Amino acid sequence: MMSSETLSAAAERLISRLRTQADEFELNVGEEELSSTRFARSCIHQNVSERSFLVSIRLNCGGRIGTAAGNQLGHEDLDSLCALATEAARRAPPDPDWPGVSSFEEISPSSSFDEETASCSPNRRAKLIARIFEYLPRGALAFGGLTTGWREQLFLNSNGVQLSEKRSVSEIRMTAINGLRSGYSAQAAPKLGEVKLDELTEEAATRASLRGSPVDLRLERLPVILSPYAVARLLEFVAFLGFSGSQYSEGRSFMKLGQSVTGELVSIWDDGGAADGLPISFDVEGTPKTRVDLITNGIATGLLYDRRSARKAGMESSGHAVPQSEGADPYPANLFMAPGQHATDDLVGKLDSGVWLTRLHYVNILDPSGPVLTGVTRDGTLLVKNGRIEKPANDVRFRTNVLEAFASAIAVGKDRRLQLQTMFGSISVPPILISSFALGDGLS
Amino acid sequence: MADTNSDPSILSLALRALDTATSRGARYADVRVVRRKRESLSMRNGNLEAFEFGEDIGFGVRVFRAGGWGFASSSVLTSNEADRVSALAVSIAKASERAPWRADFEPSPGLEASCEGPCEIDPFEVSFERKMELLSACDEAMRQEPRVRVALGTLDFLREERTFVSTQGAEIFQTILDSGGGLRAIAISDGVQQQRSYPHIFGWSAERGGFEALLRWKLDESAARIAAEASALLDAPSCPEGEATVILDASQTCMQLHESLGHALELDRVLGMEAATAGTSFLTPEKLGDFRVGSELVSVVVDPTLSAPGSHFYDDEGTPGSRAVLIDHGRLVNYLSSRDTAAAVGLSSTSCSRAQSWNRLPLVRMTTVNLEPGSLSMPEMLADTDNGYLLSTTRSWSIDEHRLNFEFASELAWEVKGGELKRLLRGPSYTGTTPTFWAKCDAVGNQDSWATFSVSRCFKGQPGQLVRVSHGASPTRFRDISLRPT
Repeated sequence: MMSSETLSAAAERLISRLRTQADEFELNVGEEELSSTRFARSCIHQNVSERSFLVSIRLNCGGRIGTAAGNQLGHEDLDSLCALATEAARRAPPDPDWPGVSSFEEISPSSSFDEETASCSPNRRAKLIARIFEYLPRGALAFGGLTTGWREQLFLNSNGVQLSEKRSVSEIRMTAINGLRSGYSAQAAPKLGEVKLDELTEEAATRASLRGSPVDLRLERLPVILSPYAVARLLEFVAFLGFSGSQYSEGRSFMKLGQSVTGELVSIWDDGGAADGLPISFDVEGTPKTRVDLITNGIATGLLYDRRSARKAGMESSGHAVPQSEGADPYPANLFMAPGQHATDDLVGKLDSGVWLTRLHYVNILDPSGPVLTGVTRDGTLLVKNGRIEKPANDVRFRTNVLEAFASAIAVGKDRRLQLQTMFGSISVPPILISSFALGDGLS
Repeated sequence: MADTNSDPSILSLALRALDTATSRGARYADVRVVRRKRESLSMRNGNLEAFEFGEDIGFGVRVFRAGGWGFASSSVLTSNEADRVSALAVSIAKASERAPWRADFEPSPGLEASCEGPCEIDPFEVSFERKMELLSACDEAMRQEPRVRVALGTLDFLREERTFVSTQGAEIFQTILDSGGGLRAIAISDGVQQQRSYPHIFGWSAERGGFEALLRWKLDESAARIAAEASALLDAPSCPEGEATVILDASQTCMQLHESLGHALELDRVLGMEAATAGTSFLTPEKLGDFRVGSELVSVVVDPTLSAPGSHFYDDEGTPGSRAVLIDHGRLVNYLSSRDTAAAVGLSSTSCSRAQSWNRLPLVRMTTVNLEPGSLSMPEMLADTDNGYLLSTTRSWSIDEHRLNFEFASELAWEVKGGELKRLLRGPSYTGTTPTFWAKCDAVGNQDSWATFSVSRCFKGQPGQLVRVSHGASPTRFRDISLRPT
């Protein structure tokens, strides 16, 4: 891997050019390596590794803003990128909402980099995956992927702010398929050594090995236990639809600050520096990430801001700016839901009659103001009777007002599962027992 | 940065990577170098929120050894890096042999070609003032509507230069240009939001070509209309619930085609290669030839030779693009495929091996997948519909992992009574099961009503890849569809 000195040298070259060309500038310079070994039908069918650099510049020339991004670190390429950004700024109209660049001087970078994870070889990943295949019961096939990687990020701006951070990541997702039955498990961690492969294989295999042919679920509202995978999927959409200050100020958010928006068992926050997630210390504007309590015991208590939306709202940025190419609204990078008191088995034990939902597929938005989401279940939809998981069920479609569903929570599990979000960032959530969830339109 | 397709150092780097892969034991190897140049403008409520230039370049090496595949990529364009990446790709392939995926793989022949897509007006040469003038005019028109709280307009241009070489002797250079953008008006009142988009979902579509392609959409002529419609939707009654005759406009039909047929026809899904993530397909191989996916009016083709985003002259394993029928008057006859997936079911590749860019492994992806036009003009289809609803522009979509059970929501519907458009309705959604739904198709619009639309971010794979795909379709009519309000 290229040394930090090389990234710093590239940044210095850019600064030397931009100092005379721009009134203000922000630089993000980074290097990333990501390797994934995928498997299907208990065979390794795709095995990849990529290395890339990112250089992005945003600058202010007389109140006009321009942006340029590239991936080459050669001197000519960097000079060309500066020229592009400057040209963009000179052509742009004045931006009355430009908030200026940050002026934070010190942060505590996260300590989540693990050399063993970053340098994990293809052979090691293949060996770990082969272990999954061996562990599965006869007749079950494994599908999924194991990913390891690292990223180094430098941020510098015209106020003299210089921030750097190096992070590693590992993730396993697996589906065990046994005839018509399937089970799923997943986990992310900064260190590969923290990924509990045997337990995860057992989890997926158990769901796929439940005896009996899948039964149809009737169209109705039922008590359900949402696994951490299902909760994560729903919460990602909640975050996407309404946790930002920009959505709130435009009237696009469901959040009503100071008011109850869901049940009192539900507390949600984003905390970039939290070590029990995938920590990240600063955003693309060089603002340190602060903990934001978004929903506290069901009450809407906070919003996420970047510098632009913060200025408009008369607030301080919370460090949740995202790259423009990812979309404009601030978004959580290390999202948490508060755990409860109950072991997962205890949650099941509380159900006389209901359903365990392992995974939700193709969730999408029907009404952003609810938010009301639709989707289908998969990989472990299980009938629960008399406090025990009894038999598999056929997958079904659901429609739900997510916050209303969370408001009907009876109990929250104590064991959170850390996962990667679909867009970017991480999420750590527990299972939840919900008294009323609308299931229907059986898929058998 | 020099044009990669005329830069000998790029070809030299790619050939060196091939040599290294071969010397390290690869039975087959190919190398892709891709350079992307991008310009995008985003306006929000009169403010140019983003004006960005982007350029990136890199290369990817794919190798096949005794039984395993390996892929490695890098953005560092040096000989040393070419050697490192090739060696890594081979070692990855070797690691794959621990549990190899058996694949019959016949590589594409060693073709040599140099191709360039259409462009009359280079969008990168069009003045910034001209682009701003267009966006500002649209923005002003949308914000004339008082309840439109968010007016969004985007323009974006993407040029790609692709170099492909293989151990079979292929040397293929392609240059393509896509011009895209669109508008979205979001009206908000009393906590209720409604939106209208043009020309396609979330206010974006693209065409293959230069600035002239963008001008054909006449964005400025549609801005006021979509703002008025977004506002009107706030007061419109909800779509009723029940079984109904539904006409999907061309944009909505394209999304229906994409989600319920396009993805189902991806052969890697059929073979279980995406079971853990995107899912599988109900169109299993024993259904080839006999299975009825839709009515006699439903014929679907893949045609990467049509000039549209997602199309190509050669795919990312060097297979020439060609037209292929996938669904022939309702019957399944072929798949979207790559060389190894096609071989697994005794077919030939339909040139659908595509990667997001240099950095990712090619997967089976849609290119330009079209519903063949029928015989009715839009006025004729409406006149022939006594009682029903015309749905326009997808707002939400969801489908199960096998591509069977779906729920789609549109931005709006118009009531159709006695062959005429009547009330505007908000929040229409409909559900169905793919083959049952398409079997109820009893009318397909003619060539005059046929239009192409693009999807900008079709997601698949792990690590995830976003590619552009295109679809051409006319309006379609379906009987006895389960309709309900969102």
